[in-house]
Amino acid sequence: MTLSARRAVVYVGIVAVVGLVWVVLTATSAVAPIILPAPGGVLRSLARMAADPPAVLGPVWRTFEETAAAFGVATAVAIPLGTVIGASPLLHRAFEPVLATLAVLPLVILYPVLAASMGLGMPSKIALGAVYAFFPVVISTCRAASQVDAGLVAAARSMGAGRLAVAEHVVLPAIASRIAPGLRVGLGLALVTVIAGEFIAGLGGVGYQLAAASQRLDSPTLFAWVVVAIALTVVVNVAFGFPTAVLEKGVNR
Amino acid sequence: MEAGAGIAVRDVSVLYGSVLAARDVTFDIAPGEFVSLIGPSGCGKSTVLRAIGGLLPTQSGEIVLRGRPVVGPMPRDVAFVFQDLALYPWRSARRNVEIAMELAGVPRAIRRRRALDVLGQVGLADVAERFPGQLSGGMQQRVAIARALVSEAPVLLLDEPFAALDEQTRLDLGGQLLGLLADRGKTVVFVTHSLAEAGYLSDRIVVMGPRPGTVVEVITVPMPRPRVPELMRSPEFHDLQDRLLTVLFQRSAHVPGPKTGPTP
Repeated sequence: MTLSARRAVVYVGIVAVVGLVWVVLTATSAVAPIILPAPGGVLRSLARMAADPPAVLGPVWRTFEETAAAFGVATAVAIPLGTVIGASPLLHRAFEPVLATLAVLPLVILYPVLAASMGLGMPSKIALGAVYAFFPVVISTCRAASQVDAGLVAAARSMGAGRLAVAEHVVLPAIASRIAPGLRVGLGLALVTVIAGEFIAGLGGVGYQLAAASQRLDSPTLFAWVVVAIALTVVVNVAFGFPTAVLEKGVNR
Repeated sequence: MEAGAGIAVRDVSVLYGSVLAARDVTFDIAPGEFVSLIGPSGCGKSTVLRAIGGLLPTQSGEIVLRGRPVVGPMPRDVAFVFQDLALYPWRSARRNVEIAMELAGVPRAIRRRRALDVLGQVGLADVAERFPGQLSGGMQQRVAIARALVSEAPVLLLDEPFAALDEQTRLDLGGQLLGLLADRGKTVVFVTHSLAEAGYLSDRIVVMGPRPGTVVEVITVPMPRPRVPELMRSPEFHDLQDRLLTVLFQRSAHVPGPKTGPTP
């Protein structure tokens, strides 16, 4: 059996086992239906939602927009800032510990302030998502900028590159080829915190739908939205894979 | 000497970081000459090479290249091959060769053609679109050499370009390098720690003593060109190796000797 075929078998096997455990737990009433609804109920909820696409796609699109805006704002600030800090040994030594410390603070404590000042609409979700996406990106950019190979810079200088050309042809590509993991973590955190923000206090989006179903004690619909949220995550991650491959390899012009 | 692609190094001292790496180094290189710099590890031979290329400032003394004092990088006069190769991992072999032309503003079509041409000469035509990480050590070496050859610069500075390779590949690539240089009339300064390589490739060998390095002897290689591997079996070659060993061991055995002792 080829490796990919074996991998498929493993995937299917895991899903089958989880599904089986799910069926057994619900069919034997080992777990109350309000905590874990039967798979059939969740499927019926999904089918009902599929019959009314705007009711699903509306919240999904809202969450996607908030995530994209949060990630966009975060990278627009974090990449230039990280480059400047990382490129200077002094700034790097001064600020890297600060960034590393801030990154592990439970920044969700800011959310009441954000919600109070920006309202319950999209801006407060975007702000929280941006705060979370910012740190992995700025830290990885900083590290990449501080570790640019001095030999590559010397080679560029020997070929006539001035400061600007070194930045364009050596520093930026070196950073771009190494920040993809940081970007991926940042994007993931943006999506998680946007959904959490909607869940805690929101007016729409996937997180809001989760909260609404939860408060109605409508467990099948709650689980159906969990499925939707997972699907959204997969789509966002796959879509992110293409530009990342370009970043890591560069465009072979 | 002053005109053409000659190089004059006069009483040059160079700091590497805060350490005096080379002290009062003096030698001349004639246009079209192939000169090797050898010496014990850490004797400052790479530092002197970088100073010739304008990548390191001299502490004192003067370097004159093509009749002009060296004050910074001179991409039109000097091409480098670095010890660690300095290939850009995000650029394909072809785009690594193109970068100097890109920096000089050569149009894309022209630089592409010239890069492919030179990659063909070093035998890499079929892997031009591969990235350095996808190439063997010897192939990466040839990309670095192609990048230096594609420049029209009359002076070629090579810093232990084959150091990472086994002796056989090293001498083989060295022979190929001689072939590539044959009709180009380039002036070459070649830093190496391989005595065989220095003897096989050079017209003259500048031997430096331990750090802070200074020139202890300049030896003319008494062998005809073109060089063929069989020359390495000749008595002249063995005498040369013998002499190089003698000079090197004499100097490093007498540390701190009268000529190479530490300066205050």
